[in-house]
Amino acid sequence: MKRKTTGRTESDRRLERLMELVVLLRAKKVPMSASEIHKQMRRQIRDCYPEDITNFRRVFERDKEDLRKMGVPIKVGTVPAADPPEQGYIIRAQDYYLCDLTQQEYAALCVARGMVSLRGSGGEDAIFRRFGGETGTGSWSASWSASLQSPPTLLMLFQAVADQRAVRFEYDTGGGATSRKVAAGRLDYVRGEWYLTGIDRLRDAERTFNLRFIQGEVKVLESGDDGASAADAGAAGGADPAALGIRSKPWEVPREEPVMAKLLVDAPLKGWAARQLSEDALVEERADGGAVFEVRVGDPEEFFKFVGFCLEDAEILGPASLRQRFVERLAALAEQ
Amino acid sequence: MQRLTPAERAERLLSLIPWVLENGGQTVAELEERFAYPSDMLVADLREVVNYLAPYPFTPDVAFSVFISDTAQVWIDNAEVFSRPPMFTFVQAFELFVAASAVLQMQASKRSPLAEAVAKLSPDSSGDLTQMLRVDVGEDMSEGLWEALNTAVEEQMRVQISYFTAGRSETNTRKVDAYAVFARAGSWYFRGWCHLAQGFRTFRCDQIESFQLLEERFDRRESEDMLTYHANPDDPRVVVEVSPWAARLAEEYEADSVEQTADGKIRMRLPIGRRIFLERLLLQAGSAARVVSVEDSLAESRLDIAQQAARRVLARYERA
Repeated sequence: MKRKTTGRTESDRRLERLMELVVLLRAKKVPMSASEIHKQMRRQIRDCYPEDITNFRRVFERDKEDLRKMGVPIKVGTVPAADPPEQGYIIRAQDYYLCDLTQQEYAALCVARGMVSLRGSGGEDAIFRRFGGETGTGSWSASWSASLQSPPTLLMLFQAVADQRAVRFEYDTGGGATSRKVAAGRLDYVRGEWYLTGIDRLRDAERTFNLRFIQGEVKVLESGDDGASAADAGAAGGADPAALGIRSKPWEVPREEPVMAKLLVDAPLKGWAARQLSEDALVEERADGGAVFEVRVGDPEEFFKFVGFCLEDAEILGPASLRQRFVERLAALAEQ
Repeated sequence: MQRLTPAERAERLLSLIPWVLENGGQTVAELEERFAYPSDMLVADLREVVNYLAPYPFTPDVAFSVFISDTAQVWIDNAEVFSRPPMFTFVQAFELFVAASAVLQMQASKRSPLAEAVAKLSPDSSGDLTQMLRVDVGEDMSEGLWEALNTAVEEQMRVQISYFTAGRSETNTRKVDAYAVFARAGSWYFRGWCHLAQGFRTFRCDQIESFQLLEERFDRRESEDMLTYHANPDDPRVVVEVSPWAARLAEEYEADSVEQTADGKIRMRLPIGRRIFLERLLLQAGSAARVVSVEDSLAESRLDIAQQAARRVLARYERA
């Protein structure tokens, strides 16, 4: 049967080329040089690529990029028996095919994906198409759902974590930007924030970074570049996040020498405050229905946010220095 | 149905061919539905593209073969190179990992089909995704509340809650028909038909002081999407500018619009049901937030709303 040559648009020819390229590179067992791809593709589909090798390379690069974007893993490898040595391209079976998932496993993934979404992503349909558009959920309906913020640096940082790479970025929590070089160890989403934990090479210590405060772009460093190593990243991965402080209450994270603060909360907010601060923090019940809580404060600004929410229904009793700082914060706001 | 680009058609074909290989005889209409592939385009691509694909050495005996019957059923033969669908893209895999990690975190059992799927897909050689990623979508709820709310939603049961209303600084008891539980910005919320307010309301789970699952069932009302927070369209709006590091606070208030100013600040238009909500937000943010404008319907509000609130709180400290 002869391939139809008339009435085919440029889009049709491009689709032919992309599909044939996948078949060619997937069916071969060894990497294929660009010149061989050029020859074989033109043999299979006449004029699919320009005859001129320079023009071919330009179009071929675009095709590779398109295929990689859709998940086709075109890898580079040495062409066997090439003299001089030459780089070629291949799609290996182990990289290309989706691993075997049982119906139950696939259904569980679909259910999870339906329940939890990253804001601004929207790739759900393409995921389900991998299995013929089956969402696997049947009569299931979500009893809960979650929507997570997705900072622009998130995906690149996860790639760095997965590849055990180091990253470089500017970090600013409000006191001015500082340069960081971090062996990316793990990502955590806690209290509505994304955190990166890893070895900060410039400080030679493990640090946790809130992605919200990363300024500008993240640069992924080559392995071994700037003293950061895969081993560092691996060492940081798997660390107990509780020990890193990000699962503590925000005001407990030690940004300065911690103090024990006493906070009086009036009756209307007492129950709410007890749940936020923990029941253990309640040290005194007052006759008027209020209560005094004792709270460990390592980050006063975070504590002031909590107290600020209470408006005139709470009062920092001590220590005097902490109370004074809060009063100064209020005075500055009152005079703005 | 929208027309597709060549890359979108290729992406669909790479999943469609394995599907047809395994489930031959599906109709064009079914394939159109499953793969969001316009039928005229699909038929043309099957006949003019897939039907001519062939691995090296491109001889007729290795060429793909597409057959479309008079009843529009589709079979593909000789396409073993596409015997399985392609791996997820990195972005897709990441989205699945995030979702799976969040759901696994909420499951009591650590052995489940979801855990098995994640282990197979995990880029970590140990198959243990938790080494790289952990997602807690919301803070722990008080004991028994999570189970009670989920049961109420699944079984369409009514709950009675004692609820602290931050906007009035008061606690009251109400019966609520449970429709949905959802997490947003790290906090859990519960939405349902409130019999006290005679309308749908959203409740922050950490403001539920006590609860009781009632032996009363309800019929679901035809209603809005239950899984997201809905600001009241009639609420007054206020435009607030915050430093980037304080934007987190305002996120909890579900902005109508968010934009970045030339000097890097975040400007948001927020629905403010009651003045006290805005006061709480501004006192939390301190100098990192500034009110830019307030809609007229907040009659008593002025641009110095933060100053007024700060002076009131300050007065308490001066009395002491």
